[in-house]
This record gives sequence, C-alpha cells and structure tokens, in this order.
Amino acid sequence: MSLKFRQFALIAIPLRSAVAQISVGLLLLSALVLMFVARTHADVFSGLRMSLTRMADPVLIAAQEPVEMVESWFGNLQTVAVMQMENKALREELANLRQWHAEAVRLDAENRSLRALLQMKQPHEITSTGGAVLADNGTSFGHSVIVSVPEDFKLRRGLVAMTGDGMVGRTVDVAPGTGMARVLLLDDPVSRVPVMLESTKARAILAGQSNGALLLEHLPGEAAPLVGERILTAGDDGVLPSGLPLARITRIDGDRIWAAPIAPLNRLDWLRLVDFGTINTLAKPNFQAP
Amino acid sequence: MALMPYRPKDTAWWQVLGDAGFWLMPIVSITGALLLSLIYIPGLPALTIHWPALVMIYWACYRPQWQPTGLVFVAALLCDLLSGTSLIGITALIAVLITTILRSQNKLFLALPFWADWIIISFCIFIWRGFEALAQGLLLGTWPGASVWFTSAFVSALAFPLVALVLSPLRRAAFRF
Repeated sequence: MSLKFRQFALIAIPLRSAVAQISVGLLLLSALVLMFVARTHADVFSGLRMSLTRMADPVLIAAQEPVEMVESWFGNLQTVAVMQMENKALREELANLRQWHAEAVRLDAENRSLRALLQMKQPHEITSTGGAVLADNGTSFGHSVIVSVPEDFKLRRGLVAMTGDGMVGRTVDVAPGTGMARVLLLDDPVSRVPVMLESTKARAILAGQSNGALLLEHLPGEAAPLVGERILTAGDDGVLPSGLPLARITRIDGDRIWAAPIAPLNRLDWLRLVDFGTINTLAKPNFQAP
Repeated sequence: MALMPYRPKDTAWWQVLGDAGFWLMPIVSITGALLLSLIYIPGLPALTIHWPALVMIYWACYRPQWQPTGLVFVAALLCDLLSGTSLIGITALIAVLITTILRSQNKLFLALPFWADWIIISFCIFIWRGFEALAQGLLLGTWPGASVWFTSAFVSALAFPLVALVLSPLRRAAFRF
C-alpha cells in the first residue's frame, strides 16, 4: 500500500506541478491571442460586451439610487444667496436667448428659401433621445460610459452622444431592443474624430489621450490655431454632420496642439443620443430641356 | 482540496455546503469588485481604484488555493469586457502573471507583518498599472500621462488595507467553521 502510494506520489507530484505551469503558460498565450483578435476583429466582442452589461444592469440601476440621493442632498445644501445669484444670471441668459431665438427664426426662413432655390433634398430625419449614464469604466485607461435610453429608440453604432454643450462621443456597442449602449468618449485613446478649426476651417484629426486631454493631429502647417478657439466636427467621414462643437484649444506646444472637451467628460449625468442619419443632402441634378 | 477544513466521512450536508462556500468567497468578492468598479459617480474621475485587481491580489497573497489561476483569467477577462477597453485580454495577461508570482510567495505574506505586505502589494499595483500603460502606449500609440498612471496606482495602493479589512474575516472564517 505504502509502496504503491510512494510510486504514485513520485509520478503525481511532478505531474501536477508541470500541469500547473503549463496551464499558466496556456492562459498567458490565450490572453495574447485574445488581444490580437480583439484588435483585428473588435466586432466579435461587441455582442458579448453588451450581454454582460445587460446582466450587470440591475445592479448598476440599483446603485444609482444612493448616488442620486447623495447628489440631491448636496444640491439642497445650496444657499439662498447662491440661488439668487443663479436666478439673476438665468434671467440675463434668458434675455440673451430670446434675441438668439428671433435670429434663429429669421435664419431658418432664409435657409428654407435657399434650399428651395438649390433644389436640395431634405436631410434625413433627425431622431434623438435622452438617457441616463449608468456606468463608467474605472479599470483601464480608456474612457467609455454605459447609457440607458428608452427601449423603443432605434439604437445603432455611430450615434452621436451630446450634452447641451456639444458632442462628447459616439455609440460603439449597442444592444438593440434593450435601450443599452456604450458610448466611446472623446478622450478614449482609440477615439479619432475628423474635425475642423472654427475660424479657418482647417481640417485635422482629434485624438483622445486618455487623461481627459485631446490632441489635434495632422493639422496643415499653414493653419493658424489660436488658444481658446473652438473645434468642430468636419463631417468628412460621412458619419458625423459638420459643425458640432467638440472641444476648445487649450495649449500649443510647438507642433503639438492640445485641446479640452467642451463638456466635462467626468461629470456626465445625462446624454442625448442623436441619429443624424445620412449626411448627403444634395439632390440629384434635375436638368430639363428648355 | 487540501485547504478545505477536515471533515469525517459522515459529514452533514450543511457542512459540505459550508466548505463550498469558502470556494465561492473569491468568486463573489471579485464579482462584487467588478460591479463596484462600474458604479458611476458623476464628478469623480473614472480612473480611480482598481477594485478587481486589489481583490485578486488579496486572495493570491493570502488564500491562493481558493483562487485558481483559471478564475483569475476569467475574472480579468470579464473586467476587460465590462470596462470597454479596446485591449481585451490585457488585464487577463497581467493578472495571471502577477497573481502567479504572488501565490508562490504565499507563506512569506502570511509571515510578514501587514505593513510589509502592503509595501510589496503596492509595488505590484504600480507594476500592474505600469504594464497596462505600456501595453496601451505600444499597441494603441497613445501613452497615458504619468500623472494618470501614478494617481490610479497610488489611490489603488492606498485602498488595499480597506480591501484587506473586508476580506480578512472571510479568510479567517475557514479556521472557525
């Protein structure tokens, strides 16, 4: 009995050790293969990601309640003086907005008449919906958020996520019919958006830098960027409309032009997902013989 | 199996269930850490405490038998998928590497005073975050700022005693049961 056990132990112990070492090696190899596959076939993991997010959804929604409660407590701590100051500022802003409203109505009428003159096809109907931000990734250097929108809204990849200030990102993973979408924010290291400078319309690429900063790449040498200048979407990719404000130039270090998102990306409570549809708006020419 | 409390052959079903409970502790605690890392608090930066890493490191140091390397791999992969990182597998790679090294030094961690463990574990967290930053820089071409990397690792290292405080009663429950 003891001899048999000793013989068994002589084989089993080194075998167990070898299997343990091999399994670690296999797991490391699997991780490397996964990294490669995820880089080349990102879509493969999209469905899996959203399924997992859906599973975590009830917990995230439940966790939002105490967070919102604490937020409302802090909100109630605002003093009357602060509220009076805000009230005054809001009245001034309202007066200003009324002027802009009148201007917008005039421009809209002008726009309609010009479109009719150019025989422009009406752009694709723009649809949008609001959604609460449920989760934010906190384990990597990337930056994306999970947004919950009404289930009947037609979700798809590439929708523009906006706040009142401007664009903050795009949907990259969606779970249709569930109202869950992952929004890749502008400061994620894989985020690249074709943009233009507001003043000169010089084209460039806005790249995320993972620390809340953005870098303006491939800007032509003759473009003269100014600190404080707004950066708008260029619309060259055929996905985004042109003219959406994204960021503002904060610093110019030689060739490196740094920008900051126009909306605070770490304080997103609500987002609006906008489907701009197709961007091509010019109708086919309708030449008729005289 | 060696770490399960000794039970005679006529062990009651509820005691067997209790033994299984010990094996579930890492799974439940890692899942909790994953969900905790996803909870969104507006106004706080996203890159804060790496809760799943802290929990995995804790079990690797103090109860490696309860946390097989396969579990670390799966948990880290879930972490990558839920966090939305484009480098799926990077956390799995780093987690398997670091926990394999730490679990081999299990006896040392049990013998050393907690403050010494804390220093070693903090060093590991800095390496963990450093590897992530390196992989991101090399594969995505975007190098995270040193302040982001340092802040994230530093805050995570500071949070380790809290994780130890929560998990140590669970670890010690094995001896009392």
